[in-house]
Amino acid sequence: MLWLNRLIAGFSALISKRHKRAELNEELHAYLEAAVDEKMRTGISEAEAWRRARAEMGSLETVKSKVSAVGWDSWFESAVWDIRYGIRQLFRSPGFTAVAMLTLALGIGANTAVFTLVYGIVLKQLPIAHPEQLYRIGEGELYCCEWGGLQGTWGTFDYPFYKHLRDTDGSFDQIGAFSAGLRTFNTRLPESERTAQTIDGEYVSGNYFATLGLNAFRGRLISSFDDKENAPAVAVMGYWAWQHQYGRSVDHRIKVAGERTASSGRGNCTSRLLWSQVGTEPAGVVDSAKPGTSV
Amino acid sequence: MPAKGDLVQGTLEMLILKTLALQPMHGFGISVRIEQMSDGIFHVIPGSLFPALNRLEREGRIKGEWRSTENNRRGRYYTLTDLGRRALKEEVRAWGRQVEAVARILEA
Repeated sequence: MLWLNRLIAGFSALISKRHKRAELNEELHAYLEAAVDEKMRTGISEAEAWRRARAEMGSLETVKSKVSAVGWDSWFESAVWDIRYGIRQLFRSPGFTAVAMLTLALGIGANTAVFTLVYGIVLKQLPIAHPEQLYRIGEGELYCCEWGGLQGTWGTFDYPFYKHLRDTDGSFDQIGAFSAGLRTFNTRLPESERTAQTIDGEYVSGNYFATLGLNAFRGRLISSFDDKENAPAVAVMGYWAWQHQYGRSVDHRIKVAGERTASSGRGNCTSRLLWSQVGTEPAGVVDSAKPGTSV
Repeated sequence: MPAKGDLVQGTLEMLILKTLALQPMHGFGISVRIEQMSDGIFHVIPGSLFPALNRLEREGRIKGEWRSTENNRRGRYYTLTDLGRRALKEEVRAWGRQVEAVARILEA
């Protein structure tokens, strides 16, 4: 409770500063007068008594400052004075102030930038169920995409090999796959007057979303049931594209036009067809639409 | 050995509490009483007395109020609070332990 009393006393001293000062002043004068009375009782003159009493008291200002230094509020008060003094000094030399502020701003900005970078690259976890259980199969640094043709030692595999891995490997719960390289698809709302818009996407295996442990924001995601011969073609739209390009349309049936690529290894047999959007990915996963297909 | 007038660190507040346990007093009365009771060994100067009074009052151990003195002047009289009474008891006990300990060391 001692600290509480000290706290309250500090606040009340701050609030009634002038009153407390006057009171202390009066009290010190009362002390002096009492001391003078006491000394005059020994028979010395009043003037001499005052002289001695003042000498014993020392400087009144010193005593006052010692008394006011007792509480935490004196620290607060001197901090306020220091800040006011500092601000005055800053206004007095605007050149220095500008340079100092610029230095601080740049320093803080640079630190923020570096941290943002480190956070994005090192600290931030992938927004999936178990990022620590996710592995990439393949070698090389540039593994995900095919930009203008295969190069070097990229870890890309053909679809039959993927199917072989998926069906025979026992060391992973799931092995999902996505196409090397982005495709452009044309998308439009059914019965819409607007022309189709192009949107980037890629082909993914039926278990792709299950492998990442994702759930649909709306509708459903592509599942392994879509990964069957003659299954209807389906697509999943990314959250960003759904929100920004389709105004959070509640209609599931956005039409996606693209090429159905035969994956059986029988060559480049393609046919134009329509996918139906079946769902929307959760927010924050990928910023581009991702029409998936069962092939 | 402390010279005349020197107080052992931290004992002034205990002596003030003890003085006020007898009767309410103003600042000058306290300093005279301490001097008398110590047979003139301790001389409490205002520069130490008033900060100590302020501290004790802030902590709620004493309470000050203006009254008229025996010489028909106004004086700020300090009274011991219940908190102060308990604090005095505790400090006297702690002081006793310290004195005993120091005595034991010196006698060894």
